[in-house]
Amino acid sequence: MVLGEVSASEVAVIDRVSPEVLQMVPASQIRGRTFLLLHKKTWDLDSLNYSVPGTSLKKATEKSRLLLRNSLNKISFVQHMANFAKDLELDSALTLSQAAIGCEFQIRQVQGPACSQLRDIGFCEQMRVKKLTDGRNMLCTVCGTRLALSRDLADQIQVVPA
Amino acid sequence: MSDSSIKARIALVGNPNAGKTTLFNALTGKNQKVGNYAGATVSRKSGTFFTPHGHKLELIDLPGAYSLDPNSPDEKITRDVLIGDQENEETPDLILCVLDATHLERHLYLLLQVLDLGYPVVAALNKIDSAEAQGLSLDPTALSEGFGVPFVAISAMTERGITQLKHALRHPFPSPPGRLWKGPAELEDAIEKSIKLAETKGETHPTASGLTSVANKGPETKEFIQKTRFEFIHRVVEAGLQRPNEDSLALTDRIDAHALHPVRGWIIFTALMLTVFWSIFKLAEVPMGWIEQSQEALQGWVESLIGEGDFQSLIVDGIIAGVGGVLVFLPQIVLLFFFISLLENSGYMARAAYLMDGVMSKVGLSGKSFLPLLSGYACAIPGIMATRTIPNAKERLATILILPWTSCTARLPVYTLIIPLIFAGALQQGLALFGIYALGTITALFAAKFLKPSLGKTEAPQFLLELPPYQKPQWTHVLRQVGERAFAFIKKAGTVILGLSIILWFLESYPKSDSDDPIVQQSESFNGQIGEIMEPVVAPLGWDARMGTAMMASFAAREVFRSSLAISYATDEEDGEEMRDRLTASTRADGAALYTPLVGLSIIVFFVYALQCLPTTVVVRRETGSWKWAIGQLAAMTVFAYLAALMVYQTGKLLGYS
Repeated sequence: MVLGEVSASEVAVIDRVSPEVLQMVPASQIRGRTFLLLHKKTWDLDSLNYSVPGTSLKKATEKSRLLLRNSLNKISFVQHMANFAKDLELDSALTLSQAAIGCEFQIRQVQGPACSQLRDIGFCEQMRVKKLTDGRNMLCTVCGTRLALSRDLADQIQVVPA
Repeated sequence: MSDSSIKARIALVGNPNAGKTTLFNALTGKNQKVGNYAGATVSRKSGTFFTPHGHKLELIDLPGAYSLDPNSPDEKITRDVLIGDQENEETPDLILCVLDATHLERHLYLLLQVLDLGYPVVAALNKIDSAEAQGLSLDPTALSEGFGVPFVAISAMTERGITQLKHALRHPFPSPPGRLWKGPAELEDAIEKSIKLAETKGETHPTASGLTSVANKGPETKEFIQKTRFEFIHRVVEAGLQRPNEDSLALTDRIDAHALHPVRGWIIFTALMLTVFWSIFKLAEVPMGWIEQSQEALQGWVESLIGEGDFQSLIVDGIIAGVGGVLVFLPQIVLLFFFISLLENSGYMARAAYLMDGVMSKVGLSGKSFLPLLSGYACAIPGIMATRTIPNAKERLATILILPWTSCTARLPVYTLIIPLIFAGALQQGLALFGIYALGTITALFAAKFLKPSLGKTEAPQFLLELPPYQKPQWTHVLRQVGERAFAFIKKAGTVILGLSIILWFLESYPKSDSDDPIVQQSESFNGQIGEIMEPVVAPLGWDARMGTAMMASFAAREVFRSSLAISYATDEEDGEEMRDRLTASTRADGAALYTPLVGLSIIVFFVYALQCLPTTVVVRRETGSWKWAIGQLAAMTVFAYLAALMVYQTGKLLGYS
């Protein structure tokens, strides 16, 4: 997963962020959500000592630090970084039924009651898939094979642009 | 091993539509049915062949499977044979894994699972010519190194690489590489312990049992193992396969843009079906004329050779009229099989299933049920066996129960005898035949709608189907299949129909009456007596006693209806008069025409719905595992057929038709 030049594991998502924080930490808005770009960040929220390469946080005022702390407390799903990155990836992933026709995707996750059957037929994580038609049943190609599958099954396949 | 000269047993394993049966035919010289759609093979078949070193090997063709975690009964057969759970079946000595070179990554998953079981394996990279045409660059050496088994590039259809493959299958077999993927230490420990436990329990395949029990510990473990296998495949395939840019639209894409279009697709489907039914009447006219002329010539020759009497009557009115009356439909049956075979070979069958899924879902079935129903147009028995590809048990049962309502070829002689009594002209007759097939199919779908809820609650069926690329039909296979079907039909005519014709002639000719009047003779014969009993039952359908006895006889084989009528009306024969003319000329006691369009319609409706095929009932019992369903189906369809014919005739009469 790549957002511009930034790896997903270096990105945090928060629901609300104050303008002061945005001045301190590079961020971008994608589909109405704020993505903080935390380049190899290390946070120590108790002492409010933090460092982000490429920013000069020591120059931040006490007020800015307080605002940043408040904002970070509002992060709705601060977790362990690995889970955090996974959530982000899934957040930006689409189901195969939502994916656009004619575009190539990579399967990120197969989850649901039919996941085992879908993997057996070729819809496995990391496989490339191209959606050909939409509708009640959709056509797609996986590794050159044309497969028809129902919308319910396509909903169990999460993809990201390849 | 049952045959001591057989050196070893080899099982053909691969994904559906990988070309296993084509390879089986190429190696053994047999002619098993092949089709360009997933699920053409649903049962185990075997044959033998010799290696270049003169060793005789037994080859077992197994149903296609995407993995060894079965999702349908046909996949279960493959799994059970490989892990030694199949009754009366020894485990094979070597697995010949057939991989479609054009879809290699997907097919390698099953190969990894087979290797996990500890079998020696030879991998056949089939359809190599198609892969080359698509610009795929395959390196069998790199793949062999990656998987630790020989990879042989072949084309089973053109028999390219078959000699090299036979060399690779030489005895002694390559040693099994075993499990190639490795999980984290914790998982490996669990697998090792589980395999040891299976060994102490004395399981046939401890590796398989051990892996299965670990995988079944939870969905996360199963998912982890699946992903690990695919990661291994990715690594090896990177070295062994290079794909071209796939920007250009392939021929299949261009055809599918029309064939699967929601509007144009249906127009194409309907046009194809209409063409098939029109052709059955139009193209068969000439050869049918030849057979009729030959039959008449033969009857004339026998009459000139043998003096008048019972023996002449047996040969002319019994055997030649009975068997010839059925054989005359051979061209139509050959044509129907030819078209079905073409559809199967070209890859269109899967498209028809895709189109039909929308309709099928409205009655609680999926497009997967349509493939067996379509096979049922040829014969109900392979159709019922093809339901093994349906993963959902309730959907499978519902499909089996409704399947005999898709008209099989055994009904064709009845339809093609009666339709010209109602309609003139090949186009109208073709449309009528299309209507008859549509009537059976639509009723079957309605029946499924009402039947399925009574079979118990089940999840809605999910549609998941592989659409193979279109290909030119394999003419040798098409012609061989049609030839085999034609031979089977002729064999049936020469055995079952011949035997029944002799019995029917006997029932028609004995006991002898004192009167010379053929009508009196007929009424006093056994057939006449049976007819008397049957007449009150069939009279409400507009039928006479002779039709009643013919209908009874047709429960042995539907084609006998035609033979029975031919024998019954042989006594009415005028010189040079064809049977259909005799039927048209026959009258009731009051002088009214007997075979009116309404009576014809009543006969057709009865034959559309009646299940007059005991082998079908036996197969239904085997596939459902219960006589309850088999007998219930036979009884319900017979009663329904009678009531439907009754309703048609009585309603027609009320509306003023005769």
